Amino acid sequence: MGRLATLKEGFRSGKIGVTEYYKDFFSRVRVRNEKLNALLEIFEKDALERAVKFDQSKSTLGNLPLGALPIAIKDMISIRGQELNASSKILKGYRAPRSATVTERLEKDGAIFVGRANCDEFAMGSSNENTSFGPVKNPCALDRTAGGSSGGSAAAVAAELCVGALGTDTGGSIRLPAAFCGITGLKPTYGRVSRSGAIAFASSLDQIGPMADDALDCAHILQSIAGRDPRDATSMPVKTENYIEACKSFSLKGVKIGLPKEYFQKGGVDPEIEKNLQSNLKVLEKEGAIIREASIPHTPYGIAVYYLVATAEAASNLARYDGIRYGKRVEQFKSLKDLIMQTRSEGFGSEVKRRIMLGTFALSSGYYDAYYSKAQFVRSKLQSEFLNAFKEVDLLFTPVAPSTAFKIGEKVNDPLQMYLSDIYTVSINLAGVPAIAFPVGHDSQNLPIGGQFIAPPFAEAKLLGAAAAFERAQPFQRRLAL
Amino acid sequence: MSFSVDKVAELAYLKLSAEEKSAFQTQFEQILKYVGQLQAIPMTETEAKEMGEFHISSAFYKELGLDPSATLRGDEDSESTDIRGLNLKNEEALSNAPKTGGIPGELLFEVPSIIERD
Repeated sequence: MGRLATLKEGFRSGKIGVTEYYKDFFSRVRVRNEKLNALLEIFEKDALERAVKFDQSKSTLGNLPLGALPIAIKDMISIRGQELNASSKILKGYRAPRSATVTERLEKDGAIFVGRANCDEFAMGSSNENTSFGPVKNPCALDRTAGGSSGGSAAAVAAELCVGALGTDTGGSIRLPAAFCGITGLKPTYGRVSRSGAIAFASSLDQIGPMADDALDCAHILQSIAGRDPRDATSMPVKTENYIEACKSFSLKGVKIGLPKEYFQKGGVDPEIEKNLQSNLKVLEKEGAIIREASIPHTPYGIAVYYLVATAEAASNLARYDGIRYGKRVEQFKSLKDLIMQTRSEGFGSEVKRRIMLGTFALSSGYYDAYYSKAQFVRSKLQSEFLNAFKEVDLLFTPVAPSTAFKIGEKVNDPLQMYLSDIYTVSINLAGVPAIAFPVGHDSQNLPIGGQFIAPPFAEAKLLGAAAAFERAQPFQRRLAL
Repeated sequence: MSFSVDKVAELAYLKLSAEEKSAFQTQFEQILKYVGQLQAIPMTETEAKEMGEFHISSAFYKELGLDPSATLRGDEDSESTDIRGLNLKNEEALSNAPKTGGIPGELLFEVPSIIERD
């Protein structure tokens, strides 16, 4: 059982005292965080105050689904009164005037927020190296990236700085770091989880999702945050299911699992990942799943489409950072326009500037049809192809990334190579369907390998259940370098 | 298709250093060459026009037989029940402002003059 479910049982049964747990907890968090840089801020004082209240009122603990459980929150999601930077200099000092819907719901269910997790600036990155506050190190190998952009959240879970975390996923930013750090991370269907109170990167792609040891732990978090929110008009009126029960009862027997051939091209992944994938298929078949070929023909265009659509939306969303109403404002300027340009230039990092410029270009007069409209057109094709695939199969199974965690600094100077890390994740965001990354093995350097299930819209119960069933058939032991 | 770093930076309200301009010019050439593969996919004028209406959720509403207008609410006063408590007081809304002026309860964002005076 994952640490979230185990700790929940421990607290509820009284075997573990809440205050006692938290006193030891933060000394470990501080030591490990020093090495990893996973948390930008540790909420020790607030967390201890809340912990004491739980011990004073034990009956409350029992009634709350996430009572006293330590959760980390990515620095893209508002917690009322706490600093919120999007890991960017341009928002240094900004404090959220209200909580996001997801953090409100977690707090209502009893969760204790233990820290603000480092991430790529404005969630733009695949390695958590594009941050104004230093890269996150992978707890499985300290010279490797934790993946991005939710690298801090993934590292915090893997290194036991929390029992669960929230990340955001726009093109793979929950699933890639989950795979690199050997944990489980779920990107819900677009519209399953409210985005109200989350900093927007690309509004038609962003989703908030859980990251934890395993599928059951993720299910506990999703149960709290999922569901229609009137504050977010894109959150859909689709009933949530019992995700926790799904993890416990789902069987892979008779489940039709498609392997999209475009994701299994020769040379598409490192040889060790390819070998591991083949052994995973044997596990699935042994559990009674029926493996079939599938096809998402426009997959090869996914990266091109993503880096036009996402950057165009980002150029629009990040126009609000102008030094006027919040965040950084430069001291010396010649005019209002100069104030805005200087503030943005000093406040944003290179990757953010690069994406804003790419998006601005794609939307500019004379290029809009050729780039943005064309990208949306191919996007609509990708979505149709996923929905059609699910008429023949229940789930799709794919790799998460072409490689295991790469070395810090390896791809930082080659943006296009960095973008290509997302080849197996972006199309899922473009289609809006849900997907889960979960650990399926190690390579010869003890680095975790992630597998990915993709499901039809709003079938998170099936996703979590299938991942849980795989985990039971092939348990995974994370190997930390701490 | 040509990419002018200076022109796009101006549109994006960014001031780039000489180093950044040089690096970006090379990187954008590579990136635009890569995304240029989309040009090979045929799209009619009607299809291009339809993309103005494309939304990721439309297909989901259709698949699930849901009415998209169900998530909309009437054009009513902002104190409606679903967002009650979200409206920020004046001081809360301006609590992160770099510079404010005016009196408490009626604070304003202070900005440089945009009108030149003789």
